[in-house]
Amino acid sequence: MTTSLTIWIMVSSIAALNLIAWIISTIIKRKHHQSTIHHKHLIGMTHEWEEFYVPGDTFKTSEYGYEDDDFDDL
Amino acid sequence: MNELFQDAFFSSIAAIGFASASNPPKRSYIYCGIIAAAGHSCRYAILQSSGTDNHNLIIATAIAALLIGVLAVIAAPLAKVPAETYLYPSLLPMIPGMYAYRMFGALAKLLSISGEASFNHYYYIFASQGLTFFAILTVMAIGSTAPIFIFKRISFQATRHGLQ
Amino acid sequence: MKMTTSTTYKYDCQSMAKFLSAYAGILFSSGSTCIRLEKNVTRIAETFNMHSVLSIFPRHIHLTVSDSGGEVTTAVVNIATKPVNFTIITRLSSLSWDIADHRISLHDAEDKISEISSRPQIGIWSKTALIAAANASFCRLFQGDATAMLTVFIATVGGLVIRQTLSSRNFDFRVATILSAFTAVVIASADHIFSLSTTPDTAIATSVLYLIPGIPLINSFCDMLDGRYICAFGRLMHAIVLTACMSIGLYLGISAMRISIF
Repeated sequence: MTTSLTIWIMVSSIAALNLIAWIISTIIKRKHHQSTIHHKHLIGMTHEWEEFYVPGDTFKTSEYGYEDDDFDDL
Repeated sequence: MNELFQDAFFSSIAAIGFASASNPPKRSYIYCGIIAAAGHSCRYAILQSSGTDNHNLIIATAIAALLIGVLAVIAAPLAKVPAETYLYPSLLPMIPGMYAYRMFGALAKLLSISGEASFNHYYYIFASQGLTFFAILTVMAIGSTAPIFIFKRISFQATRHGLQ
Repeated sequence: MKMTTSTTYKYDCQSMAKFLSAYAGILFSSGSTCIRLEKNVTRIAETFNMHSVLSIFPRHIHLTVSDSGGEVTTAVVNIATKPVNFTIITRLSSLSWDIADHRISLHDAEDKISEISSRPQIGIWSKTALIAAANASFCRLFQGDATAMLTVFIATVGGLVIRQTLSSRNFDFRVATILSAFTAVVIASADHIFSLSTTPDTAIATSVLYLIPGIPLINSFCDMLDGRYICAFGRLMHAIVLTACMSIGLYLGISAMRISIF
């Protein structure tokens, strides 16, 4: 085999291997992206809770509630 | 006529392909193709009628670049993108790349050979290719950007109420 | 019950300089010409009755903002090395007009800038295919035959893959350009080795043309016409260096393959 042909085979192989590595990494990234998408379930156990306030609710700021006094004249 | 159409078609594909490297807005691809086809086929037609000497190439490139510049300025407000978005990709098929690397190749040869005759030969290649390269680039840049500076108001207001 | 009031934002010199320097840095690094950058920045500053002065260098921008009250702030921003992105240039130009026409507040514009600069670009596969098709069209424009066009297409894909791999591993862009050109030339020399085409020299000569830095070259002349000689020379030198690297790769390739095309 001539030198030119040897060099051609080497360089083409390196480029082809890089291309295959690119393709494989793209496929892996796409599969990983699909697996990390959270699918919504109709029924499930959750740890979520929600707290909302209705006008008239008092805030419990201490155990004895002394700071709740609104009366300034005492 | 067939050759003119082929020249226009392939230059439009070249412009669209190289435009993708600079991430233009999607709707500007078709304008890049049309403007590049118009400019490059204009240059081809002029060269066919006048010959392909260096000075004819320079003049033909200047006229084609002026046409591309005018079309880019007209098209810019239509798609609400700067004129440069169409201008640069459309000019890419006309950039004298082969002159550039012949110039550098001759320069490399100058450093590696000995003898006056060989030196003079490669110096001739270096100088002629280099001068042609810079001359074509200069007239291309001036011809294409002159309409932007002449029609400043249109060019720099093209993106008003544009893409977000 | 505590009522909150809406806050109105007051734009002082410092916040304006911070915004404009970020805006200018992203716009210039995306490949905008100096004249467009200056017009956009001045337009935004004048909307808020401020005056801006720009000193544009190849790697930095110095921005000074002054208001009618005598306050002056100077900001300096680095220019990142990024590929040209006309979508960012278009959207930032449009944003400057929206600010000038009072269609968006400066606070919302700050959020808009982050969103514009992080938008996804065209996929790498589509880009590779389009650039390879463009280079094959170049081969046809230089009178290459169909086999030469196919060879150039494959050689361009090979060269782009090598360049992308080296860039992702943070190789110097000059080394990446040389190796990419070398790869493209060697693959394109298949026409010579296997006698596939009637125009093998055209295939080799056009296989590296995708590496020509066309946009920095034209940008440099545009800046030169506007009198911005420092930036023009900076961009021109960058383009000349890339062209020289491409030529080195080409000549290494044809020397290795024992081919003479000139």
